[in-house]
Amino acid sequence: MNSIQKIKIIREWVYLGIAIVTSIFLILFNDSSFNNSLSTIGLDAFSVLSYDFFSLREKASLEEDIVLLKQKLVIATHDKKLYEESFEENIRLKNLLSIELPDSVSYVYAKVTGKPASSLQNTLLINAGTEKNVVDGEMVISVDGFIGVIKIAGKHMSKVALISDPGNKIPVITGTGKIPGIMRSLDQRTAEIHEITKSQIVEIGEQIFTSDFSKLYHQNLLIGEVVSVSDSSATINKQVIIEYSADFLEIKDVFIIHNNKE
Amino acid sequence: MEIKTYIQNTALIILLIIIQVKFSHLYSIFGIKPDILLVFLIRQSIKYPSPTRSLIRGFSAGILVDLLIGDVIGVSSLTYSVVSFATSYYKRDKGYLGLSNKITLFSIMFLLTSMIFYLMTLSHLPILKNIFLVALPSAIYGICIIWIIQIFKPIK
Repeated sequence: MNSIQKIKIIREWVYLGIAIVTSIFLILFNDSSFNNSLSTIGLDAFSVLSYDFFSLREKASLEEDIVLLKQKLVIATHDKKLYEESFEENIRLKNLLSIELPDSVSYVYAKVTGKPASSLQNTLLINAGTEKNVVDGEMVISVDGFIGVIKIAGKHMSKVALISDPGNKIPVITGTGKIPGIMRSLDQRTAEIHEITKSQIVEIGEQIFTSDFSKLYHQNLLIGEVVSVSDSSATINKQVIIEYSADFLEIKDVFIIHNNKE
Repeated sequence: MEIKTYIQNTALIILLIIIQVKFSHLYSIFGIKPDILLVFLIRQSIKYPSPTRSLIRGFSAGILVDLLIGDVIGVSSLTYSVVSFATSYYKRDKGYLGLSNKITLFSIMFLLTSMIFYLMTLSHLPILKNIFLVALPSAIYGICIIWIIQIFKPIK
């Protein structure tokens, strides 16, 4: 092997070293503002390609959706009239008791434009960004309930970190007993609720909602339903397993809960 | 490689990323998805066995995927760089790859990628569950895809 070939091979290994070091640097600073800025640029670039060219939804399917929405609107209008009086009375009482009213929110509609490219990843892409006032950390819901929070908001697109990411610890409350707990995801279908003691009663089939324990999350958003309760663990806590109400891989439309005060 | 080939490769990488991001749910089996971009990168690395070019191709494709949909930025660029480089290096060293060499190469590259990728991005899962329920099935699915393509459009 002559010296020119040797230099060529050394150069190739140096390039590999640079690629590895750069990648490891990016991994180590995964949540840094630098990485977020890079990701925002990536999202904006991708938004150019993500108009509805690739939509598989047919006109017939959209018409079905419209009929369904009209039905829901009629039911919602009826319900609103039914509960309007109680709602106004509740506001008046809260004002009298000087209880702080929650900030008003609005719902920003978005379509899911991208799903995880690899197995069991926990990120979605949606076609709403800062141009629609979406900001990092806002909650994202579907018709089936709470699905995640905005991780990075680009101009036209945003990344949503799903609640199925086991890194999340979400304060929740049971529907019937109003027992608080902390939810941690097990996989993309199920999660476990911690900190519920064996003396408390949780029934199978009971719904689980977000609680007001954390300022990060709005309360009373449906997360899922209890599928298994066990007292067999060696701790003082129950083992409560829930199944998410939303199927993250099938979601097509979402709403971002935007806090108008911001 | 000609400029035309570079443009074709870039367009194909972008197309494959779009397919992975938009349509991966259509070919996923119980949430397990094959890495079709990796299939392309390995095939290109064998076809054009220049480690430096393969490295650049792998790194660029990886960083694009990471920035767009990655849970952890840098993981895909790391795995694709290493795999593309190693494949090209091996092919250049060997010259001709026989059937057994190709089987070994494809299997090692997919297993290596899956192991690094899923052990990093799904680090919260118990390690055995991660390996046997996610990394291995994903790698096997990818190996099947690359062999199907290899049967219909072989590369030497």
